[in-house]
Amino acid sequence: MLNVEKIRLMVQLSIYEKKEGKGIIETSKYFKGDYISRGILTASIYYTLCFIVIGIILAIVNIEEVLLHLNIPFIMASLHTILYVYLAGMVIIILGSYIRCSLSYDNAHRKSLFYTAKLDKLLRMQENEFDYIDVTKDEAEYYRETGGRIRIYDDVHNTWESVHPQFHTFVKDDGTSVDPEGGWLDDPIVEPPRESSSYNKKGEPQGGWLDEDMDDDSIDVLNIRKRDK
Amino acid sequence: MIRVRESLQKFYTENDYWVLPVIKAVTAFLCFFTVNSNIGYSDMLSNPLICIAASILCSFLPWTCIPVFFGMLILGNAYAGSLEIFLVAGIVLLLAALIQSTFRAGNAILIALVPLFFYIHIPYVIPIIAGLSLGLMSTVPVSIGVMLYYLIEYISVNASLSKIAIGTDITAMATAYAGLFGNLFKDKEIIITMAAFAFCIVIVFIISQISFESNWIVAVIAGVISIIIVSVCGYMHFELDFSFWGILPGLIVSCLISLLYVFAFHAVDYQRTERLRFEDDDYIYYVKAIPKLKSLDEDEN
Repeated sequence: MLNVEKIRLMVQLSIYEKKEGKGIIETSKYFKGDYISRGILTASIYYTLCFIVIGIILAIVNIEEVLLHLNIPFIMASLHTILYVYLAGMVIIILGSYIRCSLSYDNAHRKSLFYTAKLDKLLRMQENEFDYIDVTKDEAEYYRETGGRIRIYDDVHNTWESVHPQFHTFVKDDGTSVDPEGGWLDDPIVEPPRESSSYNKKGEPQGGWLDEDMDDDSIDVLNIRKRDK
Repeated sequence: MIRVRESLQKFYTENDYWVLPVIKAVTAFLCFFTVNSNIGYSDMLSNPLICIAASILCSFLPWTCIPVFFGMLILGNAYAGSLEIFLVAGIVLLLAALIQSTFRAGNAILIALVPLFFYIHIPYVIPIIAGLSLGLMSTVPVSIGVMLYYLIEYISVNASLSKIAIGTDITAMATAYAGLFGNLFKDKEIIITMAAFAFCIVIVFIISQISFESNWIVAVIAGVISIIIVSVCGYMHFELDFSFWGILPGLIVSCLISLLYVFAFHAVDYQRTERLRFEDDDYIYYVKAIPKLKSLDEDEN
């Protein structure tokens, strides 16, 4: 059974993962403090290496002056200057890295929350398989009594919550299943659509079946393969 | 103009699977060709087939690989030129890599594009477009690109003059190396160009972020003016010869190209057609997601 809404959600998730996944995965490995510390440490190491290379270049370029003034006071004065410049640069680099890493972490965290919310929706959809509950007439009584509510586990609060199914409940009549209008995509279409069936419209998942008009979806399903189990 | 933009968008959406690799390959080839035509000291690296092969390879690899190959070509040709120049080029490229890593600036392709645009005499396009679309951090790769352009110029001039006799007096050798490095690192023109480009990126970025009508166009014009002002001030400060009329054609052409860029890319999302593969418990899905394109007529209706 193929659900357009589910496929659409999976496409959205897949595109989002492709575009933003790298940043989300990188930040999700660390707490914010650790991520910022790591960024600052890396930038500091690169800055130190940069400073050494620039120092060597400046020493080579001004070699004549260095050789002419090669005495203890000159060396001490030069070392002081180098140290002050290095420390000033380091402070700027640390501040810059802190701001940059903090912003990028917050940004990635927001994206990961969005991604998780979408993923949660997909998982709930999968749990309930279109919220299309396959029940007998007797079992359907229970759903009528509870107002068609079902229980869903809330990971965050570690509780069960009672919610309305997003899709209509399909009542199976004494174990005989009724196909949706147009049949299932993964089944060979043999019979013409049953117009008189009271379950045809009831049983449709939100977004319709995949073999219906998909012009506005911009999703072109190239191939769907049944998994080998 | 809007029709052209729409058809461009449609064309890219439908043909992105071959357009992007071709753009990458052409960009890479032009960058490598620039190096070989100016400092092609190595017979092997100057071979057009090597250049084409590297370009084709780059078309399958990420954009970041183009500046890496670009740097390797410079090093190879510098080695063929002379060992001393190779040393200078090696240190400059090491410095460039370290600076880029320190700032984690991204957009490394700009490092290779800046020298290319310098050689086609429209270098001012790069800081303007970088300011419009790539953000403030693009200042880092653009500055490194400027440094590499002057490195290539330096190699082309100094490769034949830089033979330092090994085994001579150590002081003489040190002085010779000081001269060799000094020719590049004491060049005031590099500082002026870097400052002009960095200032242009900042100005263009700030103006393009302010919300008003035609902000991108105003940003482009302000960017061009900022380049002129910083260049004039810089050349006057360092008392160097400056020919305004010399850079004027390049500025005008750069301004026009930047305006074309604004018309083609402002408020347009060139989304790619995504080919995806994902699976659930029962099925493996192979999906092509095509971005929706709304035409002007649809919007009006």
